[in-house]
Amino acid sequence: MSATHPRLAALPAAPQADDALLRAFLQGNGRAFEELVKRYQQPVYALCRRYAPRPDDARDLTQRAFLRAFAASKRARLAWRSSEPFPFRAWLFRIAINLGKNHARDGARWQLVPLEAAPERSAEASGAARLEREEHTARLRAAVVGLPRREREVFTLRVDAELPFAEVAKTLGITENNAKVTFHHAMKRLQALVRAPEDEQ
Amino acid sequence: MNPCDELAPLLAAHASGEVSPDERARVEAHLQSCEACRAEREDLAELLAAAALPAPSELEQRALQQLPGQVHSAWRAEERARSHVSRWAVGAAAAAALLAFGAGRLHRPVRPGAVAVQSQSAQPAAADASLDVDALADGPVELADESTDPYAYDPETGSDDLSLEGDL
Repeated sequence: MSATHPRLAALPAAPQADDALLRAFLQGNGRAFEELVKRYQQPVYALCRRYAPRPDDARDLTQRAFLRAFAASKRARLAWRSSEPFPFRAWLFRIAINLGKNHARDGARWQLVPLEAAPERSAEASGAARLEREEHTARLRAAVVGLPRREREVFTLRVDAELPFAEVAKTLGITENNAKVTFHHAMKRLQALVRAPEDEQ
Repeated sequence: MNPCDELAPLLAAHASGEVSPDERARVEAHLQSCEACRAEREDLAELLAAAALPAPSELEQRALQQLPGQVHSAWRAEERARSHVSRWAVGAAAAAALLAFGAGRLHRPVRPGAVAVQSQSAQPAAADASLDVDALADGPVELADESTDPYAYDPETGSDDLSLEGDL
C-alpha cells in the first residue's frame, strides 16, 4: 500500500453527489444507476475478493452487493427525513462485507489460497523457502477473514477498499480514532498469528 | 524491546500510509530516536504488504468495466420479476376475496334486493385491486415490511452475527 493510492484519490469525496445520483435513479434515470456502480465498483470488488478468491465469485458478489444496496436504498431513501445525505456508500460497503463473509462462511467455493497465488505456486518449485513464504502469505491472508468482526471490517475497508480512516469510521458509525485503534488491534492479532508456531494456529 | 505504548496504535496507521499531518510529524520524530518503534513499524509494514491482496489482473479489470451495464440489466430483470410477483399476489388476494365473498353469500339468508346491492359493491373492490397492482409494481413486494436499515443485527455489538444474507 502506498500513502497516495489511485483508488483513494478516485473515491468521490461528497456523499451529496451520491445522493443526487440516487434520487435521479429513483426517478428512473438509468445512467445515474450505472454512474453509482462505476463510482464504487473498484472498492466493492476489492472487498469481495478478500472473501471470494475466484474472480467470477468476487464479481458475482460485487453485483449482488450493488443490487441489494439499491433495493434497500430504494425503500429507505423515500422515507429519509434527515438533513444528512442518504448514506448509500456506507450501506453498500457494509452489505459487500457481509455478503463476503457469508460467502466465506458457506464455504462451498471457499479456498484458503487467494487469487493469483495458486498458479504461481504450482508453476514454481523454487525451493522450500519460497514455498514456506507462500504458505505463510496464504495463511495470513486467510487469517484476515477470521478476525473478529469489527477488526475485520476496519482492516478490509482500510487495506482492501483503501478507504481513509475517516471514511472507514463513517461507514461503520464509529469515530476515526476508534477506527485507528481497532486497526491497531487487528494488526497485533495478525502479528501474533504469524509469530505463533504453526501447530498453535 | 517493545514499542512505546503511547505511540503503538499510531504505528499501524502510519504503516498503512494514512495518518493526519500532526500524527505523521509525531510518529516520524519519535521513530528517529526509538529503535523499538522503528522495528515495530517495519514489521507492521511487512505484515501489511503480505496481508494485502495482489492487484486485480488485467482480465479482472476488463471484466469490471462491463459491470455497470450488467448490474443494471440484472436490476431491471429483478424489477420485472418483482412486478410479476406483485401482480400475482394481488390477483391471488382478489381471488381469495371473491371466494370469501361467495362463501359468505352461501351462508347468509337471501332477502329481496340484497343481490343487487352486493353486486354494486363489488365494483369498487375491483378498482382498488387494480390500483394496488400499480402501486406494487414500483416496489419489491417481498421486501415491503422490512426495516429500512439493511442490518438486522446491531452493528455496534462485537458479535459475529452475519444475518444480512438472509435479510435482504
